[in-house]
Amino acid sequence: MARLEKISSALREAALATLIVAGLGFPIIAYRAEPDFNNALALLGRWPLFFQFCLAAFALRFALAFWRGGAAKAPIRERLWRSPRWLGPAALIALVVYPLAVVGLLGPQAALKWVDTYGVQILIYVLLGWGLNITVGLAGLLDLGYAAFYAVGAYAYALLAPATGLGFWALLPVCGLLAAFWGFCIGFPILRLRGDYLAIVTLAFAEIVRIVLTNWDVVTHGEAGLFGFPGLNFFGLPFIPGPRGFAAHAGLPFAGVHKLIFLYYLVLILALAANLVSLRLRRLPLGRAWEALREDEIACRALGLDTANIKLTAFALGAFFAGVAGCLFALRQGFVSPSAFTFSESALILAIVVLGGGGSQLGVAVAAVFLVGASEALREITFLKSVFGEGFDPAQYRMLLVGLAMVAMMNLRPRGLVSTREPTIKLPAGKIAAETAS
Amino acid sequence: MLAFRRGESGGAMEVFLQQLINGVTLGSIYGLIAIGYTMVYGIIGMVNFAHGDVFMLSAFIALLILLLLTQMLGLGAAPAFIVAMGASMALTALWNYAIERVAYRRLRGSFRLAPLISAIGMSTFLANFVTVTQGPNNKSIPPMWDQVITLTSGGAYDVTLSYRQILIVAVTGVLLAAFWFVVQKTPLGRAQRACEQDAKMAALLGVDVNRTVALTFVIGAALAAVAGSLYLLQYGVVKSTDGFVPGVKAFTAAVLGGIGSLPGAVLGGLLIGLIETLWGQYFSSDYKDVAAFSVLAVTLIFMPSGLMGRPDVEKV
Amino acid sequence: MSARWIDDPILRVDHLTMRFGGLTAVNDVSFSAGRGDVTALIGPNGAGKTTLFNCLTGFYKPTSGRIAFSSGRLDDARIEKLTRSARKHDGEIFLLERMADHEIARQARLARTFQNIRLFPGMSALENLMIAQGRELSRAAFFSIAGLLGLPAWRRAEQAAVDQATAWLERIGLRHRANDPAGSLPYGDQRRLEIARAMCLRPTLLCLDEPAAGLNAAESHGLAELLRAIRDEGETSILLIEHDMSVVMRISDHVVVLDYGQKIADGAPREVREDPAVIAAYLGVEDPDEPAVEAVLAGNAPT
Repeated sequence: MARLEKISSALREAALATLIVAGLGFPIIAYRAEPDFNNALALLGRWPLFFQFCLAAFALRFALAFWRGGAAKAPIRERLWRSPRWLGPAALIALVVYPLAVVGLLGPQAALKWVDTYGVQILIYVLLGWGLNITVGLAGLLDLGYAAFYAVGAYAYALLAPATGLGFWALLPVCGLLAAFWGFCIGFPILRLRGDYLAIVTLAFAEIVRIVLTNWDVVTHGEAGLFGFPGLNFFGLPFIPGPRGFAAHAGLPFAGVHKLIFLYYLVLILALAANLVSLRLRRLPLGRAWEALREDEIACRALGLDTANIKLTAFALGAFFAGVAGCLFALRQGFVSPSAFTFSESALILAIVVLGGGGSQLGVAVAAVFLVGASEALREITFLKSVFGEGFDPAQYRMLLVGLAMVAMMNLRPRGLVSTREPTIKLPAGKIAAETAS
Repeated sequence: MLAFRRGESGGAMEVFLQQLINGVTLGSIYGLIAIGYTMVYGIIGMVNFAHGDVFMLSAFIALLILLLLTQMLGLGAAPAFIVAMGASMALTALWNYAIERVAYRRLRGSFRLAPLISAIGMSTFLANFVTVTQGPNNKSIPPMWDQVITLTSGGAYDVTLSYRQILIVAVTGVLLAAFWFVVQKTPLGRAQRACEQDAKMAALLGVDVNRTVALTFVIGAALAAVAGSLYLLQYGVVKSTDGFVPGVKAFTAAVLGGIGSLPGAVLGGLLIGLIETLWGQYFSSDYKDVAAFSVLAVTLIFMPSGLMGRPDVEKV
Repeated sequence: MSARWIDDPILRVDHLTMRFGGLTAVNDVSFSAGRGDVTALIGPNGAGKTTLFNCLTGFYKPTSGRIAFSSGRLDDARIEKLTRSARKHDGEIFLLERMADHEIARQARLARTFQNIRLFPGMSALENLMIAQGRELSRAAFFSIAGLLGLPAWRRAEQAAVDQATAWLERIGLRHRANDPAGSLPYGDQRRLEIARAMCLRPTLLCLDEPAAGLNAAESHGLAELLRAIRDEGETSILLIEHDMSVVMRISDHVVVLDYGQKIADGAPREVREDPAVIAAYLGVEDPDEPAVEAVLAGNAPT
């Protein structure tokens, strides 16, 4: 009897969910508006897809209601996952060996994509994630305009490299410092603002930067962007075929992948340096003040901390990392255009920080690998194309999933940003035990 | 848009008048969206970042239903548009109800930035959901009600008022009046104001806070759907990334008017509409978004309580 | 015996007024607090005590009035000279109404706690105390450079800070919870931890906003002991807002009574307790013979 009642109540729940999903999906999934050959919009019915959605909603809700007993939700247990000690060194070794291993296995031509897309690109995002983590994860200042600092770094390199004739070694810190200066300038007027307003103003500033980059044709070449600026060289040796190039000097046959391997190690070293600085800073008064600011700004002021300085340093240091990452981006791409620095870029980097669980450096790195790497990997799977049709591009789904993941993260682990936090300084067990014993 | 181009060769006064009309039309749309921001902020203190995308979604829903009615059922444009707007209001309301339920409800009382981050996630989801289901390109419909009334003629340039501009301003006006009545005179409005003041106390006194918040989202979405339909009517084109910029501008309107204040949202909407059209006319249309974004930054920095909002005293 | 708050004040408030729009929360209040005293600020709810506190600690800018504070002697002539200048302090005497909140904590060494506890809940008890020693530590970290490099001077400073923090944790009986998030501690422990955190600033004046609120009898007894011990060490004077009269009467040397934003009484606890104006303000009755009033002011109120 009870079982029957359970089934019928689950059925009711499921029917309701189906109705809601049908309402949500009705015109937007069931039909698609596409221009016909007269260039007028025509409707394409997609009812099978619509019914699949309804069916899925029904099945899911039914299962949930049946197995979990109605709408009652099991409390979500937060389990702390501590990374084992060997993980850090093991990851480091894997990262160092990776490009050489790929070249060894696949040969220099096939390895290009693996070193570039899966290596350099992901590492740049890791660097960006670690940078934004200082502002958002540690200091608790929600910066929605991070891509603007990234853009400052990229454009700084693209404009200064041809204009000054300086190499990237000299320009890397310049790009970082310029971005940090911008972080300082943007941070300064918004020091007094409350959290959510501060977030919106950073967004407004970033959009202004992007619009200026798009329209200031004389300097930035607008939408077309900048290209043809000097690229990487190996301590003076350009990566070109012929006797003057790196390959000839190293006694290797020329391969495009050399440049990328060099860039890979360059980004890796910078990212590790950034990581080291962040980890160390957390144990210093400045880093602790950032975290204290995130926890309670008023208490900070009562303890004599100058919150203005703390916010500015968090903004500026986060921006510095973005500027360096921007410079690396310009080196990798060989061209920069405003379309790479939209709000959705900021949102992606923010998602990396949020999904990485804030404070945790490893979490941010894993989130970057997952969010950037997985969508690239999806693109590779030709199998999906045969299922969903030739025009299917899984990258389209990336931001859709990123959005959902952010919502899920906030709902499932609302204090996710701090819940796995380890204290930056600990009283050794001996000192604690001494008291409990006495 | 056309009137705007012709304006460049017209007489100064006529151009100004024409831009005033265009600005008020645009401002009405911003005002309708801004109410959604201001109400949600008032009641749960959250910047509903996804509201702009809800607006965009509503325009798509209206577009699809309009096509459905005119192409499959052969309805005339005018009745079809009215039905489409009504249907879009209902379906968008359902969407926003679901969004509140899934993305925000559990975050009330969570740490302060959680709802905003969730809303950013939702905004990203909605924009890409529409891109995936409807494609990234522009969707345009043939113009409707584009007969115009010529206000001044004989000068270098005719100032015109189109039927649809009259419709947009009239619909906005009527809706605002109805809405004002709801907030001032009905139990729902009282419950809303109670939750605004103190949600915990309101709950203790028997106000169903969840229901009140849900209804606030539903009303906000319905107004956004009106804005979405009118936007489609006025400009005849919509695409999946159209939620972001109008959303930010409407939020600017809400902040400028004083967030939490309903008349402020409408006033702010009109001001932003005017600033944008006049800036586009007299300075640079490439940089017209810079005007709105600058107003946003300047307002938040220098007068965060806006024109009609209450000042916010820091509680120590 | 003449009173210390007249002979040797550490804090002098003159004609302080704070208005919010049309509301006058503090109206022309003047009083002094003596060096080495425990001064209690009492009054019914809404009397303006917390507002006054917020003015002292720089969280509010007072509408008018002067707040002079000194770790040395509060010399009248020097206060006048400083008032005429545009400066915030002359190295020893501070005009608090001219200073920002963090400057007051850092330079004048006024530390405070809050009515609704404001710890850093996600950070450990030890870290909370380390943050309070930011001034000494930042100097040692030298713009984070010495700290990043891990130079010996920095290590020594860090160890000294840990030692001071450990000593305080020991003193409030929380050493065994040193590595636990402050937010996970029981309420009474959080109150004590907040006081310990304020003491890690090595303040000359410790301002406590209702430190005994929400504590049980044993805990508030322990608190009184702790405060008296701090006072007896002689480095720190105490100013507290308190509702629990048993605490006020037990430990304070001087009581200032506020009602509706105005000072209605000021003196030794015994005098204040018998002041008819105070009795009237407390229970809103004109009849000072009411035994309940006596009981409240004597600190035996049934709670």
